[in-house]
Amino acid sequence: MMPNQFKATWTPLARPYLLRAVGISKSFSGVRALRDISFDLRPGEVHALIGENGAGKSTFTKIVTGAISADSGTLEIAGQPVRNNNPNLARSLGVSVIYQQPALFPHLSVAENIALALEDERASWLIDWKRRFTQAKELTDRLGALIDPQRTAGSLSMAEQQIVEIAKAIGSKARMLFLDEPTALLSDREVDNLFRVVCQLREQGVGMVYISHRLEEIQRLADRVTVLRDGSTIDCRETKSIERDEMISLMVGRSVASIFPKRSVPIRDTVLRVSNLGNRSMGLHNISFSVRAGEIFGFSGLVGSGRTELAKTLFGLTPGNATIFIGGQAVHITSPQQAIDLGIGYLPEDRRQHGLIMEMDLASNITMASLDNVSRRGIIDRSEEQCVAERYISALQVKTSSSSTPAMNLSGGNQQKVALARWMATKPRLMILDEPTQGVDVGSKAEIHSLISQMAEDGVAIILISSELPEILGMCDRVAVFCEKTIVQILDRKDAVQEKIMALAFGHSAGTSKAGTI
Amino acid sequence: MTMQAREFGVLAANVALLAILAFCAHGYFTRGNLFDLFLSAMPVMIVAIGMTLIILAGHIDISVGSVFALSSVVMGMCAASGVPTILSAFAACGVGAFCGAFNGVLVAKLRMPSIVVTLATMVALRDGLRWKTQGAWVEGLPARFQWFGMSSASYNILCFLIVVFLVALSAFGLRYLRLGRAVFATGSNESAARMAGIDTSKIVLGVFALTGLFTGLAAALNAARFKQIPSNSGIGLELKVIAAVAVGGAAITGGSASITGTVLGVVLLNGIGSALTYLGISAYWEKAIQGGIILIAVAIDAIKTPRRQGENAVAA
Repeated sequence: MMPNQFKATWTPLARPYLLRAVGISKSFSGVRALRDISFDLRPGEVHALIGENGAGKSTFTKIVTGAISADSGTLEIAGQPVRNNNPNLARSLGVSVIYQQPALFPHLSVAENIALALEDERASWLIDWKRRFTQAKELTDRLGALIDPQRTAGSLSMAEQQIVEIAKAIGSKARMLFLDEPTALLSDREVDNLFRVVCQLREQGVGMVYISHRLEEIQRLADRVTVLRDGSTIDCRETKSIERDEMISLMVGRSVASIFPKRSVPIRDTVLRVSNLGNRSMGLHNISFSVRAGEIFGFSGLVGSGRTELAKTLFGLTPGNATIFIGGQAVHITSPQQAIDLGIGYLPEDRRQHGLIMEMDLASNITMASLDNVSRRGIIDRSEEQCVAERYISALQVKTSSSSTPAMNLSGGNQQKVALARWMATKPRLMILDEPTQGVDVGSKAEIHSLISQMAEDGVAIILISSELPEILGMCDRVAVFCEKTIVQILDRKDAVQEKIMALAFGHSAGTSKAGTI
Repeated sequence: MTMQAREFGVLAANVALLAILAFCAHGYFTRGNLFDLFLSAMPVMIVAIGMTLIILAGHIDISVGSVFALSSVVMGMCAASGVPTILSAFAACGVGAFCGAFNGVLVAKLRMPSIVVTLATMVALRDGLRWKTQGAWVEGLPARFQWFGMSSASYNILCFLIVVFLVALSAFGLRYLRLGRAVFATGSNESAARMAGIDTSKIVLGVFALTGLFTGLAAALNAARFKQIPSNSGIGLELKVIAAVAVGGAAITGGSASITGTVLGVVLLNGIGSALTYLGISAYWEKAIQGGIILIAVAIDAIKTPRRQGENAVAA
């Protein structure tokens, strides 16, 4: 069947696959992201791709769309073996991706948005408005969606915008769509709308790879499910032959590595108590918990489940209507300065965007939140500052030539240590760590974990936000599981097992308690 | 690091200019001429110190020329109506600070873009002033108005000391004051600065108000050189000031600038004009050459920038 691949595409029965990937592997600077992945997609099929954060779903998607190239393995798109994939080639072979966040031009009409994606340079420089509108109408009709092509994209609902994105893809002759968490930002009714479009496309022979954390959607929509874990294909099944609980256990099914040396630390007084916290602008509601000195309290849940939103509320970035008690004293925190004065530290998730100031030297970055300690009447004592910075640089083993190096010259792991040093220098009572080891190399990761344990030992109350379950399970004394902007349950260390946390995070507690008791 | 390289470059250009003048232009290095040059550059210099802070904080103020004119006229009207000259000067500073703070409130609290806000105040103040004065100059100033009632030489020295003091104070402040550090942080990455507990909106409001105050002071010192006050002074001041700050190596996107660079930039751009006169080149070339210098300075930045971004990407 091999000799002439060109012929194969002309023979309808020879190659039923739209996409066939065999043995795909990919490493990023020595870290294996994908290991021997195999995946295929047929016309008129919805094939779900599920797995934890970091399991390899997006890496795999990027390989098929040509954004990055695989280290090894064979890729066949629309019957053609693809060697040096690139975004243009993948697009010309009919691959298209729809992301959870639509990227339309908000001030242009639907018709213009579609036309911009479809027309090429050869199009006449005179705009044929009538053609643009009929073309937009035809495409949205084909998707069974009622969207007026004259409306501006910004006035559409999130689902409608997504449908316009799909129309763009279909209009440019896409034959396989990657839907990456398409429903993450949609309301229930909008989800139904989108599903109708997906079914319509399926009947028209389009193949779809459906990536989602919402398992009930997968059961409703998908024909087959492939489970990824730690960059490997774990299983590929017909959806009707797999239960939700089984999907979860396949996704997590890995024992917690013993790389998290949990130190036993005497737990002391309550540092933070929150009762019935809500924050309308962030969507948070009914949140109650407390954290004690020496305790590491985990926030687990999916991205967008409310973990970071709560952290920001506690830190005064987006004040909520909360009764917060810090060390027994009722406070209402409305600004980061106030939070810092109360002894709260917050290591934000994205250290480039919100953490370090990359152009500034390490000393300034480290003392930024604790200038009180190195200044008198507003004047900074530079030598004192230098001293403090160097103390933290050596204590945290930051690899740098000096404390006057700009932060941007450091590696990710070392930058993160500097960010951590900034907050350790404030001597906080409560430390909120948002994904402290994200994008950090393995060595620095272990060092950061031991720093966190050290802080707990020193009597700091710690809130640890992490998408990585082993980190949560390995580090935390208790775990709060978030779902839909609230804490659904708080588990003690002994009860916190991966399956239970995942099930709670995926929002079906009934199934879990069953799974838990069995 | 790049800052120092830039400062060195502008310094070298200055030295080259001076060397040419030393050879070719007799009479350039006389005390009287140098003080004249200093006094004509003084408004740009004082306002440029404030502008450096605004640009450092990631914003811009193009209303300084109009604020300068308004402050001058207010000072003149106060003095003409019998207010002691020194108090009139304070009034000019007050008007400047008020205008700056007004811009600052709109930018920092209402989060309006600074270029649009200050464009609006620039036009509104300039035309408001024209309407109010009908283009007439302020005349009938008391005899003790010019040179603050001092001798011309004492006035020169007073101005010089004030400029030196402001330069030293701002350079010290950027390096050693918490507020200076906060201005850097705000301009580099406002979100990160806020997360580290810096009240970034207070900082932005502060630099606008301070620049307004400096503009008022510059207007007051400048007005006292003469016996009347034109109602249309300071036209194009904003361009000279921003050009000097840019030539001095400030990143127009914020987060990187130095007072030394700005001072050298002011000296270079102002030196060119007077040098042309002394070298017998038509003054029509002045603007073209200044424009060329600005382009060269910005081109050097543009050539360097992609590489810097590359380094960032590697660090990521």
